[in-house]
Amino acid sequence: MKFRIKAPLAILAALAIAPLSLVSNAQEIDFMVVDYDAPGMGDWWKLLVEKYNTEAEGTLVPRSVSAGHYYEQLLIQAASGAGPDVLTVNPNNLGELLAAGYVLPLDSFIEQSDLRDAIVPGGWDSLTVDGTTYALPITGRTLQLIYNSCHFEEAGLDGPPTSLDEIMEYAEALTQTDESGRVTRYGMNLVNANEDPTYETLLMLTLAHGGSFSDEDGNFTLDTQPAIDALTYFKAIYDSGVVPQGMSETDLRALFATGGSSMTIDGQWQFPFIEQNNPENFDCYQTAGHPWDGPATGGVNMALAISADSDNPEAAWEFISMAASDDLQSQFSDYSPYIPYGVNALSDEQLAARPYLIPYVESSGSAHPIAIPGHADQFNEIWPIVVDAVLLTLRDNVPPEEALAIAQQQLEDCCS
Amino acid sequence: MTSVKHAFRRSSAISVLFDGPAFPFIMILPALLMLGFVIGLPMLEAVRLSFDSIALRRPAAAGTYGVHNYLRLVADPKAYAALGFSALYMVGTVIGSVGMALTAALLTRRVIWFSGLARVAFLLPWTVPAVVTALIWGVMYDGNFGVINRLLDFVPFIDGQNWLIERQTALPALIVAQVWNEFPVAYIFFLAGLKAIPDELYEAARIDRANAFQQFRHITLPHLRFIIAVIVILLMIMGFKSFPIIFILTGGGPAGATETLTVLTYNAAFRSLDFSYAATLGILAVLASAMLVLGYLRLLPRTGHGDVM
Amino acid sequence: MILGRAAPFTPLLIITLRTIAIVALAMVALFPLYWMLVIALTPTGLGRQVMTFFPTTPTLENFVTLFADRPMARWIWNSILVATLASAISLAFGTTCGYALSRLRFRGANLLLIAVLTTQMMPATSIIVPLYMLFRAWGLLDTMQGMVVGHISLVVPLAIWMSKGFFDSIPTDLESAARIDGCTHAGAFFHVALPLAVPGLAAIFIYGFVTSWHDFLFSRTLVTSQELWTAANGIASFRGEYFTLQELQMAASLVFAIPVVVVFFVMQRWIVSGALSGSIR
Repeated sequence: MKFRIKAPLAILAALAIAPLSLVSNAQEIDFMVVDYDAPGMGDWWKLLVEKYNTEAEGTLVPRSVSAGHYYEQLLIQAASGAGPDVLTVNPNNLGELLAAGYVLPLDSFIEQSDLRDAIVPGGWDSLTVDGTTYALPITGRTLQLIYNSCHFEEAGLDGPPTSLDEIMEYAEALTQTDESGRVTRYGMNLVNANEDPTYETLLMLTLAHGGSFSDEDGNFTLDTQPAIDALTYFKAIYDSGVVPQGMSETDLRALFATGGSSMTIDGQWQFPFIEQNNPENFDCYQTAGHPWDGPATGGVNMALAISADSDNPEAAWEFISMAASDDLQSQFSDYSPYIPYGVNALSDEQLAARPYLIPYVESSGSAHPIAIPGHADQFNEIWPIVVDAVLLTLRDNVPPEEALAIAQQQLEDCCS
Repeated sequence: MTSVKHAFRRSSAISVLFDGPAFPFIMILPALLMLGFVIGLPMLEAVRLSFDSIALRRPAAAGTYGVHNYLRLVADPKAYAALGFSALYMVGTVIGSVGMALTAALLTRRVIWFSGLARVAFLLPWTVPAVVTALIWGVMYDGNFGVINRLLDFVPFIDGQNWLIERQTALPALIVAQVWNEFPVAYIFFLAGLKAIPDELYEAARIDRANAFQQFRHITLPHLRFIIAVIVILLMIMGFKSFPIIFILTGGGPAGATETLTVLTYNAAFRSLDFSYAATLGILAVLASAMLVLGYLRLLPRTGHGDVM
Repeated sequence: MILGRAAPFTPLLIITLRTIAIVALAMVALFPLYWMLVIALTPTGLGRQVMTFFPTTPTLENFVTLFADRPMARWIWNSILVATLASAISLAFGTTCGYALSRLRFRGANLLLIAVLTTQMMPATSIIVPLYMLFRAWGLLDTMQGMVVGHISLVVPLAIWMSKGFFDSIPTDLESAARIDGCTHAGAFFHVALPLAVPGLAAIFIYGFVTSWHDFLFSRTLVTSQELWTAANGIASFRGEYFTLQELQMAASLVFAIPVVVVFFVMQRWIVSGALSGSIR
């Protein structure tokens, strides 16, 4: 790998103090994994690691990193020339990692092991760039409308809203205030904080208005009418006081899960949390699919890739391919709140036990990718520009068309 | 003040070590070696990095040395703004922390009942890690359910705000959280300093009918001068490179209103993946804080007696 | 007369006023901690929407989870180990260095003092990669020793500055006298100067302990095994990918604070013992 802060420093260090050289065992595979020790998905990773360590020759060493610091720690380790053999990527950061020459093409491995068909149709697409596949999809997600049907009953509403206008109407009816006029329960969650997820909120609303952030040729279309309409709608619902303002995505989730708000557009991970922390009201929570005609946002959420730096890509691949084995895929849904990508991974019984998953599974194949296709600079340039435009309108009352025109200009300057 | 008198009366190897002319250097070395290796080397490496072109998305450029990062820095309006915010943040936290700590230390230096409890009360905020400080203040500042706004209902003339997302209140709100977390650092050293002032001085002052303010001005302050100076320097450095509270609470927003140099540096490294530019910004931070600290040392009155340096 | 001597010379009114002031200020300082407690006693997920000023349905469930489901005890033990070692070693290194700088005036001493400070001015982000490489070369990654070494480097600069100041304020006559009596230079340091500086040293120890206790940068970058996590890692781990378990986080932070409070209680006695009184200048 080329990206490495090459090391006059390391030489200096070696001269200064006799270093304990780390003679790494060639059969030892490092796997950098999110929250390995946390219950849930971590238990599934443990099954996988256990299987590898008993069945394969090599030894797998997990390096657990918390979700919030995963990418940061990956970059630090990669830049130090000590990256893991196996890492998790997603379509949003794959472009950056590819530009760095950090991930290994997997095509030859995939063909050899006949894994191409073990993954649901479309599963490989977002991990394939210019015909080369770089990662094995493990988990997927889309965002769908989830609503608290008990709150709906209280407010005399029946059935979920089926359009954005209805959402606004319902949210107003569902919002409750105390005597002093302070809101005690919000009608709707819509992420509007100064953080990445706000980008997805606007993308979602733009899709609902029939647009997108780019055209087929990859040109940005932030200044087109659907995006302007989306931000206008966003501003209207923000100002009407029926969505919490400036709350982070994770706080909004907890709020909805414990009855502090009545609707949200979010992923299936809400349900295990509700089941555990608000069990008496679990039956109130229903999924309804996204209330517009176009696609939902989402797709692959976590995929396994091999570092181009790995000393032993064959062993790393053996590990990755075990993740796609029937054995592990069939247990996936017992542990994880995500949508699996293995063919038939989600059995009818598993789905029947978790009916809330149905809209997610149905929409996962057709979901619109969150990242703008064909651009490598998602997190660093594009997302913050879009979020800034949203906040300009929501908080500084800049007209949507103006805020988006600024964003469009910035995007064209930085990333075209 | 007095120079070391070297006495060479003893001759064993041990005395040479513990009594010889090398003794002071033996005392200095462990600390300096430690700092030199653990922080000094990486800092030198950062200097080298700032002339290189290590950016994850342009791996081919690695090894291209030059002053390009510095040219970019000079032309970067965000860097100037960030420098300003960092300085503002630093001034706010230093004034707030010293004021709060000095008040608390003066009040609790001679408590009669529950003295230990009273002192520990002012140390408690320090037990909270910065990450958790950010979280708890985030919950309290919240404009939707936050307890601060609900408490303000009882206070006339002050309206509730969405503190962290309003342009005017975000930076002061961050400063308050940081002051709350770090003023005990100053408090503990002020307390130690106050305790070192002999009671006789105050007794003498009382006999001379000096009032409380005069005693403070002529006895307390001069004796605390050194400690206040060091603490101010420490707080300046802590304030200038403060990160978790700002990053977690506002992420540099709203619309860049709290984007300090550390936040900018973080974004350069972990968003733009440009480690060379991040190193350059780091060097700017070192130069700026060094200049501020030196400027502050200049401002200190020189008495020739127990000076800081 | 805030600065007045304690009773019997201080009028009762002054004492009362002072007590009121202390209580008022302490309430401001302690309110966020109280709010942490309120959240810690609130069931998971509800912490953000407490609408009263006290917990309405208090529960100890979060504290139970902490010890039953997560190795909190282990994390705290690691923290105690690392913080004690780091602060003790920093104190040893820092005070010897500070003493030498105080007693020995040599060219470049001021430059040295500034250089020592400069090591604290670099934003962590700018040096984290070289730091990682160094620790890897030294085999200190994922070890306790590595964390201790890292934390010492955070504490030593202030230890040097502060101890230099405390030694500056101790007259050299006492040491000179000791040396005339046949004491070695080191002996004079240990038997004369050091005991006089105890309140300052106690403050430095506290500073070192708490700084190490709080550190999250070294602990999250240099350590990956959960058995080696300090409590700071543990608390951060409650921020999951989709939910932040802030009720657990607050409970953990409160438990996490207990050892520090113990250190405070023990050390504040040393600080106020006034060993320096009367001997200064």
